[in-house]
Amino acid sequence: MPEKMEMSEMFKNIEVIKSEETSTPSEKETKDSHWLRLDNAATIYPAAKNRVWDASFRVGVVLKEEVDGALLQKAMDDIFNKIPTYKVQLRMGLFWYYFEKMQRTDVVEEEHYYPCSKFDVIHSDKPPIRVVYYKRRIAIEVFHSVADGGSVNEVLKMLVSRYLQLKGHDIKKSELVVDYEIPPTESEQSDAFQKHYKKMKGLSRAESNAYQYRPKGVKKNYAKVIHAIMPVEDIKRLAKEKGVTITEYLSVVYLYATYININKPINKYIKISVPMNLRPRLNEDTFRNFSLYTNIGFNPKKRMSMSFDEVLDEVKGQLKDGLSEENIYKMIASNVGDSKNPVLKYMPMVIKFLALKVAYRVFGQYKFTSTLTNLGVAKWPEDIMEHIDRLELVLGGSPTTRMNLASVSDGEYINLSSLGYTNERVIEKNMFRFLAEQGVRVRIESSIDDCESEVAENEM
Amino acid sequence: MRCNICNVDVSENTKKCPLCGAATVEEEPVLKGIETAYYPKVKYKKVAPPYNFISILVWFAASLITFIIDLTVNNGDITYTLMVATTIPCLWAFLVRPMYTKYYYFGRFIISDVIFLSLWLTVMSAGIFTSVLPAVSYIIPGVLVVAMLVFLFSSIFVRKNLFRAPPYVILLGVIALLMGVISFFINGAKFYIYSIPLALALFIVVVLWVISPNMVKEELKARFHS
Repeated sequence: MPEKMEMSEMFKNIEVIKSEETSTPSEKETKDSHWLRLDNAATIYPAAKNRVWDASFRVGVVLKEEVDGALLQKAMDDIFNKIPTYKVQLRMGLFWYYFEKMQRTDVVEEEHYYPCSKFDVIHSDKPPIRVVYYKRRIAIEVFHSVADGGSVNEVLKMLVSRYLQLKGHDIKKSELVVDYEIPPTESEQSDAFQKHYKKMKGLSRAESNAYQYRPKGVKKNYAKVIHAIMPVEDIKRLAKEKGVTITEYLSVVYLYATYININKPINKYIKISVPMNLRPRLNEDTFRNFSLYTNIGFNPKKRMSMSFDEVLDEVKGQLKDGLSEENIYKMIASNVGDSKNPVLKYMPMVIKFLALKVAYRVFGQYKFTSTLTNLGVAKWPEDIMEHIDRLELVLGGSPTTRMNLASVSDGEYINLSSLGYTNERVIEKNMFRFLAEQGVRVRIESSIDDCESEVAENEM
Repeated sequence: MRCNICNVDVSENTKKCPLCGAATVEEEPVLKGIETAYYPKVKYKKVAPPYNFISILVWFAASLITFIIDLTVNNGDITYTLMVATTIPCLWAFLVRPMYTKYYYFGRFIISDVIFLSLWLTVMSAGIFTSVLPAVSYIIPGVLVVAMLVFLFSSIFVRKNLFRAPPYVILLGVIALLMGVISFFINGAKFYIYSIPLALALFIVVVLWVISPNMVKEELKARFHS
């Protein structure tokens, strides 16, 4: 229970709280306040979560040496001042959720839960971020309302850089890593969606529903990650042969692996959602959410034996079109426009919560089969890379997408990670066997050492 | 180590392929020089049963059964239905809910407690005194005053509640205002009694505002921003 105190102490504390709040730089609108509005993309995630799952992801590195937890906490304390939008917790207002700024920074913990396990949001005074370490691994897990992968990747660079400095390594300041000592700027804390919002008419979210992958044996408090480590040159060669980008190639392999897993003719689109970091394209540096996605896929139209090349021909070009500048502005206009709708704006949160939950299902989750996010080649300074073995990106699932894929590359290897809530790994099996058949060298690592499932044995 | 069925390298010491479950073989990996990054043994997070959903089901089922009994046995007099329908939320709010939730719910606890208790008192008043007047004229205003005082004292003694209380007190004030308007239309009800909780709400907000104007202002902005 919260501590009690004398009256005289209380008045002293008021001043303490005031000085703590005013010393934290924040948005112009709430410079001296203890709260922040959610950015446009963040509003959906509290409604999307349920009792067991929430929208979270992890970005991590595997170092060449074991991690010191105390030093990691010290490094995190240092960089927290640069990222005040991470030191928040979700709260419920009358009309919208908002972020309350928190004082707690004890987010570093030795890993003991499965990756992307559920966060304690709303009813906690600790930020919904977790910095986990175990042996050589450091990973930041974040509830998606706080930030997206592009942002967390920058934070991870800052954290690892500071950690290595504290460890005594000679790490120089670099343009590739945000300087934690420079106070946060307004643009780093801004909702970039609002900046790029242009009112448009005739926008539609109409899109056909997609095939939903429903594996057997989904467990409620369980997640297993499979990492596939592959040389970039191998994938690059295959993508080049087919005249597509690496993201497109991996997307098609994923779609194909899902397709061959369906043992009946279907007349439904198989689609995957591909998010895109908008920062480089729209020249933004916000630490909050600033990414959008496009759904790409194909309809087998009851054909049972489509080849990989046929799938590729159907999907080719969709990613480019979906994430064209015109479409990006349309999506921003549609999303921001919805939040400006007076009916939605002034609807009490209790009702809005239910409306958003339904909207997420109808206009979101049922429109795609799964997600594949590719962070691309993460650019790290050479002096830090010397201490890093590999990079990792893991995307947490959601109630309907039982499995998600995420990839990141250090330039030499691509680490393609799949997180699923079941032991049934048929799609990954199809995918990596296919890649291996094409001559890609693949190394598989799993968060749960051995595959203990009888389901997997049956499927051999 | 390798899985020759999937044709992939696997981590050292892995006995079964994580993809297909087949036994792995001790062979030179194709990709050399990669060390396994181990995970710890997985600890499962306990998933709490859906208490709220169960509570709603129990409430709905009990109310429905009583309603059917009232219709068939009591010739359509739904007094017992109302009693059951208002008693269960009270029992849940005061006895069951505190057992499985954390203190962060404190503010919302009190608001819902007041609503459930007011409804229950009104129904009980109608059942015992055959009139809603005692509840509407005296008891509910009293409950509102007590709730507001709880917020006032929690603000004074618990540092973090200092700026949290005003939005809740305002909500209680709105409830008092609504009750005042409703009781204005009830014959014989002393609607003017609601001026006491209304005035108290105003007093508390003003006092807290004076103590900490910026924080209270910001909290109100945060809670009511559109």
